[in-house]
Amino acid sequence: MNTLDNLPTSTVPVTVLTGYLGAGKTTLLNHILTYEHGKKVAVIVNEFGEVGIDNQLVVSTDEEIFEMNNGCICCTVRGDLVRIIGNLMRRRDKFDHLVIETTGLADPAPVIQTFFVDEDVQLETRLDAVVTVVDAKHIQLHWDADEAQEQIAFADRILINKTDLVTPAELEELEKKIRNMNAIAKIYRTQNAVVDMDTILGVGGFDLNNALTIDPDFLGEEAHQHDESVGSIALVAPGAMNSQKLEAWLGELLPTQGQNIFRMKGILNIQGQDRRFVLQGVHMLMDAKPDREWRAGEERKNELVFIGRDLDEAKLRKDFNKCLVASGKGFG
Amino acid sequence: MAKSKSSQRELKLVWQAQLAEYITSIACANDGRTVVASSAAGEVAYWENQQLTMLLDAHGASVDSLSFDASSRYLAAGGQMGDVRVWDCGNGSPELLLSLAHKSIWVDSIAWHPHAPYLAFATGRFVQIWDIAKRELITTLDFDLSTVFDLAWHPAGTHLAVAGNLGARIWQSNDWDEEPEYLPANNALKHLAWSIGGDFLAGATLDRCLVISAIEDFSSTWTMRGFPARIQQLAWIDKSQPTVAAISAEMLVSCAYADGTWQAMPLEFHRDFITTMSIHPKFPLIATASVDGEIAIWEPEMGVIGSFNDSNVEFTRINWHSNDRMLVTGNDRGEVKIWG
Repeated sequence: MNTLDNLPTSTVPVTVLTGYLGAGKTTLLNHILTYEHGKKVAVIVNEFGEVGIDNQLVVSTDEEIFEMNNGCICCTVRGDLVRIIGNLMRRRDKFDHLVIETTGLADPAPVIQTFFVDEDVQLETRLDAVVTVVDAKHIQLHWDADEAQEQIAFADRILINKTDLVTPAELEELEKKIRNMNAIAKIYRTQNAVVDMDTILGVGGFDLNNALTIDPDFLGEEAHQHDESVGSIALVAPGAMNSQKLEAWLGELLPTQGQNIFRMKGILNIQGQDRRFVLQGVHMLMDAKPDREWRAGEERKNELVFIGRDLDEAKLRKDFNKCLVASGKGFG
Repeated sequence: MAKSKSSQRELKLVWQAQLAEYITSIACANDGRTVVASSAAGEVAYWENQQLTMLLDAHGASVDSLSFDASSRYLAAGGQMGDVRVWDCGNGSPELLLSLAHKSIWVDSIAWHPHAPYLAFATGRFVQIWDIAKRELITTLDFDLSTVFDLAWHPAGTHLAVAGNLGARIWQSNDWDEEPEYLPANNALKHLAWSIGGDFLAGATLDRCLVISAIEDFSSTWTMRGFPARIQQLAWIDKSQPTVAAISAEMLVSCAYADGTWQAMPLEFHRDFITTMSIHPKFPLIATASVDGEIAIWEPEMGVIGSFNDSNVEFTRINWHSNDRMLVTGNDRGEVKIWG
C-alpha cells in the first residue's frame, strides 16, 4: 500500500513577500538571503531587481492568472508558479526555502491559492507566511488602490517600514488603521526593513495547528471604524456550536460571499466534541479539522475572524450566533 | 539486480551511466546505436558504440527536453539555461551546430517536425520554428493564451498544436500567418498529443481532465473527468481503434474510440505513482515506471505482461530503445540504465 502519509514530510517552506513598489521588499529579501546564507534558497521574482546574493537561484517570471473551477468553488492560481515550482522541486538537492516576491500591483490571493489547490505544488511545498512591507509615508497615497489594501489584508506579518519618515502620532494612527484591516497579523515597525528574522520565517501562518491569535487591542476596542472598505471582523462567543448549523452557514456563505472574504481563521467549540475545531479559509477555499483536546479549566469558546471587503458585520454576527447551541436547552 | 516476473524473458541490465542529478529526458536515435540523456544539473550525455561523451557538463541549470529529429541526424536540447542547442550527429561525433540564447526564459518544450529538420520550441509566450539544415528562423508564433506548456506537430507535419491556459491553438504549417484554430478547455492544458493517424488531438488539463477533439472540428471536444490525480503524460497507441493512454496516480488509463464515442478503461498494477511511460515503436505495448522502482510492460487489452523492480528507485523517465527489445530508464539519483 501507498503509505505516503506516514513518510516524514520534507516539504519546503515558502515565504511570499508583498508590498508596494519602493516599500522595501527587495531590501527585506536581501536580509533574508543574508540570514539564510549557506542554505539553498530559490527566489521567484517578477523582475530582476537588486537581489544581491550570489549562488542563490533567482527565477524571473511573468504573472499568469489561471482560473480553476472545481464544482461550486472557483478560484484563481498563478500558472507561472505552477510551472516553475513543479519543475524546481524535482531536484534531488532540493531547496531549503522558497521566497516569492510579487510585484507591487499583485493580488496576493492567486499566489496563496496556488499553494492550497495545486496538487503538485502542495506535494512539495508549504506556505509559511505572507509578509507585507508597508511604506509608512507613501502608503497614504495608495489607500485607494485595491492592491494596497489586499496586501495588508492577506498578510501574516506586516512590516511598517521607513518609520523615520513619519511622526510618532502618524505612526500610531497608521498602525491602528492597519490593525483594523487585519486583526490577525503581527505588526512590526521597522527602518530599512530590519527585523528579527525569527519573526518572519517559520511562522506557520497557514498551519491549522497554530492557534489563532487576535490582537487584544482589536478585541478591546468597542467599535471599529472601518473607514476603508477592507476590514476585520472578530466574532467571539462562549458556549458550543451546532455542527450542522455551522456547516450549513459556511456552506452557504463561502460560495456566495467568498469573493469578498480574503482570509478567515477560527477556533470553535463544537457541541459534543472534546477537541477544538480549527478552520481557515482563503476566498472560497476552506480547510478545517479537529485540533487538540480542550484543556481542563480552559474556557471553551468560539472565535472566528473574517478579513474582507465590504463585509456585513451585523449579518455575520447574527448568523454566527444562530449556530450557537441555545444555552440551557441542551441539544439545539 | 533486476529480476523479471515476466514469463517471456528476463530483462537484464546491459549498460549504466551516472549523471549528477535526476534524469529529465532520454532520447534514442532511430538507428538503435545512440542513446542520449539529460539531467537537472544541466548535463547532456551521449552514448554510442559503448562510449560515453558529455555534450554538456553539469552547470546548474536543468536541461529539460532532449529530442532527435526524424532522421536522427540532429539532436536538440532546451532547458532552464534558456539556450536551445542543436548538435549535428551526422558525421560520427556530434558537433554543436547552433546555440540560440534566450535570457531568463525556461525552454521546456521542444518538438521536431515529423519528417523535415524543422525545430519548434517555446520561449515564454512565443513559439519559434527553425529550419535547422539552413539555420534559418522560419517564423515566430505569438501564443496569446499564456506561457506555452506543450507543443505537438501533426504526424503529417501539416499542423502545429500549442497548449496553454484555456486550451490549444492549432496552426497550419502551410500558412503560419493564417489565424490558428482553437481547441477549448476550461483549464490550462499541460500536455498535448496527436493520434498516430493524426485524426484526433488529445490534451491533459491541470485539473485532472482529458480532452479529445477530432481534426475536422477542434471546437467540439469530448472531456473525461475524474482522474485520480493530474495526468503526467499522454501517448497514443497504434491500434485499429484510436487509443490514447494517460498516466494518473497509480493508474494507466486507456481511452479507445468505438461506436462514435470514447471508452475509458482504467488499468491497475502499480502500487505507487506512475511517473513516466513509453509506447513501443512497433507493437501496441506500453512501458510504465513508478516512484517505487517498479517497471511494467502492458498490452492494453491484456494488462501487465511483465514487470520488475529496480531497487525501489524513483523513476523519472522510461523510453523504448529503437532496438525494440531494450528499455532505457532514468531515475532521481541520476542513473541511466539500459535493459535488454
